Amino acid sequence: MSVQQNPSKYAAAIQYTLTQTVNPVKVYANFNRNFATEAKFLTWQLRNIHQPVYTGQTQSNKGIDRPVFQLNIYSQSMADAFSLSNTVLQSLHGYSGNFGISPNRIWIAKCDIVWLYNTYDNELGLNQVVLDCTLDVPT
Amino acid sequence: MVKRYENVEVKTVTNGISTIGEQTTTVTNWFTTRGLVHSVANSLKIADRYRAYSDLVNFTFNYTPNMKTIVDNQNLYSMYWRNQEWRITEVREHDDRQFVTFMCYRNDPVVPV
Repeated sequence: MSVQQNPSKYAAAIQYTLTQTVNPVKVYANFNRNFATEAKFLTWQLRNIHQPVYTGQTQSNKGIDRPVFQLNIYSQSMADAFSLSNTVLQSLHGYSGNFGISPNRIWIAKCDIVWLYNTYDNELGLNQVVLDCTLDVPT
Repeated sequence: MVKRYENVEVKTVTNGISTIGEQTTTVTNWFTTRGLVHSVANSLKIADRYRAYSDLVNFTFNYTPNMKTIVDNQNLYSMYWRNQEWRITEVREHDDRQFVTFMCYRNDPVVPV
């Protein structure tokens, strides 16, 4: 038996945790005009919020949530991009416990990170590392 | 020719991040001054589907240490004149360093054709 989790709470928890992890590097939910003045920064986007619905007529008959947030690490230097991604991996891969800060704190059973690829955007002049982070959120 | 001096509020523009990661823009009053207002111009661009209204104005101020700060970081300041926010697009320091001229713009709402 579980209730549907609030995506805004996930967003605040992700934003807080990432900000703490890579401080003083800035973290944003989406790409902004900030790239003009910042040499390195992170953006994230949340997807696949889904608690599987089990058979039955009771609405609370759901499983745990496994949302994924894609993390893009941008940096003018490739070394910085790799270093930042290592910081995130060391800190969050396999992490279990409180995620975020009250009142938007959630408890996660685990955080599982997959490094997808690194690339370079010629128009922006920024190196990029793309990570997929899956959270297991028991409810 | 009439010199047109009017009150202009100079504001600081600060970018921040909300708790859910959205970039925010906060505008705070820094000081009020009197500037020479000239070349007030409204323009309309009709694109395929939209009309975009944009306005331009020039402000000339005495060259002070505060004005030099604005010249050096034009993205961090805006002018508040006639109840509207104006962002700085171009800066011209006069050669004798007695005055500085800012060309400022604002976009009115974009409306369907």
